[in-house]
Amino acid sequence: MSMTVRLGDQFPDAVHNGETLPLGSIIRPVYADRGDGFERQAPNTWVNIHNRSVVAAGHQLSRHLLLDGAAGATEVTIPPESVERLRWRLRDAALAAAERSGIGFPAVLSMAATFDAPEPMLTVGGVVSNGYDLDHLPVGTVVYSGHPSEPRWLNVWTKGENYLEHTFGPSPARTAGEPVTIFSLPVEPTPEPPPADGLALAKAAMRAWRVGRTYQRRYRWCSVFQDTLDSLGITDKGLMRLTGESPHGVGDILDREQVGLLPEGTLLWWRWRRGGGLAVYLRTDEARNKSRTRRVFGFDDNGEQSHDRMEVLQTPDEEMVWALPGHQLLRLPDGVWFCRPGDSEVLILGSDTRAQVATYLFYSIKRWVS
Amino acid sequence: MSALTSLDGLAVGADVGIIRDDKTEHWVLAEDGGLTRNGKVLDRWFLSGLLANGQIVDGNFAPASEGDWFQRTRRLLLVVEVKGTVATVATFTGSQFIKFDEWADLAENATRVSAPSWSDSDGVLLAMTRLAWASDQLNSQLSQQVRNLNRVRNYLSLIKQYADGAAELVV
Repeated sequence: MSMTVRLGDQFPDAVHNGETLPLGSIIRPVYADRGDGFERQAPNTWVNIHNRSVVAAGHQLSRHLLLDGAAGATEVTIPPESVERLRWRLRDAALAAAERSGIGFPAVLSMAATFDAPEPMLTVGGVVSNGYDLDHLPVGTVVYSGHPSEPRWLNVWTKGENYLEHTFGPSPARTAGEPVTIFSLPVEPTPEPPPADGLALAKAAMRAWRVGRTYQRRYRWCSVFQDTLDSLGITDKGLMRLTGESPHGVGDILDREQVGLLPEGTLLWWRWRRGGGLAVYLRTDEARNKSRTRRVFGFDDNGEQSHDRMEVLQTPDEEMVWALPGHQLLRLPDGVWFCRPGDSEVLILGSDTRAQVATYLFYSIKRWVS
Repeated sequence: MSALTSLDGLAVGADVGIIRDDKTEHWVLAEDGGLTRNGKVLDRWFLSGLLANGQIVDGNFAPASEGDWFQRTRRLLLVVEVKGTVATVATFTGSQFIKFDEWADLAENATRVSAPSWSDSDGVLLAMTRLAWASDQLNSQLSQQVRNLNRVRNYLSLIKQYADGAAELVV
């Protein structure tokens, strides 16, 4: 399925989709002052519209960018792609973001393998923006940045035994995350499967989102993860619109609209930022409010059936992740399953176990009241 | 040296200069129409803009005479300085050059030749390339850094032979 981008819309993944724009097109960062932006001066060549310097650093194109001009056109079309190409773009963007942010490659590689992108997609004319896959190109592969029509910015590298060796051009060292284009491969290129429909692509993106979120929590990645997805045009609301499912899960803090798209049976909670009050909500299709939730428990809260920002505790597919200090645990109803800190033994809250709860320790809550 | 608009018609092995930042990188025309330099290969697809901008020049440095060779290349291997027993090898451009017999004498007297980076010195590489054409035995050494006096002396000796006409230049 092709994608139409109109003037003023986000232009997703300029690193990989930039060549679909006509020469003279302008994209600008969403948070930049009006007038800032980049112009596609030549194939693979973006220049800053103010100082006409070439845009080489990967992070400049790996942002949420808006289409500000399309050489007289009011919209542009991004051609359809295969699921495999989408996964490759996600892998490349993730590894390039890691490279720019000083994050180690192994965790990102593991993440990419988990969302079914264990290898790069190498095609003549294809873009690679991450240092890991460039360092592992077949020996003899030739890549370049820029374009022969602008030789002052043209750089050519050839993959040697260990690394990219500079062949020609003004910048021997490629900058971190700088996109390059494959000119020739000494091996057969990766086969390109046929384009997929929008739902298949959305489901593949959804899986990558969910896997990525798991890795983000495990490795405590910063907001670069969200920024990278955002630059690719992959948003939770977009995925939900296309698939009818929510990409969110345990640990996400969501607004009412987002909560309304979670599966029925999901448990959420909210608490005052200061003070001891909290409330637990259940996502149920019987509810008619925007978030389609009912308050199932609470103390010292406002008694409402939903809240602006609710955190997902448990979904039908994911086990509960919730930790509370003892003094709040003691205010939960009997029947809640919990564990003492550093202990895997499950206890059930009741008159006998309440006596064992220390108010100042944090307890892991395992199951809500049956 | 004259700007080229096309590489068509040049013989394989011809010298081709790419001018950038007032410097000339010397490449050799390959059979497939691309350029090679120190083991690097630049496909002809990359050359269109350079040709259009006049940044590729005819690098035909074949000398009609010793003096003509100096004048035409203006980028020569010279022993420019002798401090005690150390000679520094460098390249000069423009009209700053000395004659072969002068630096050859200096080289003969030097016990150690300092060449900080032979691979960075276009003139040295040019001279080495010329020598390779004149002497097959040097071919295998062209891509290596010159690290010892004996090898440098061999090069200098061959350059002197070339200058004296003892070695034939094959282009």
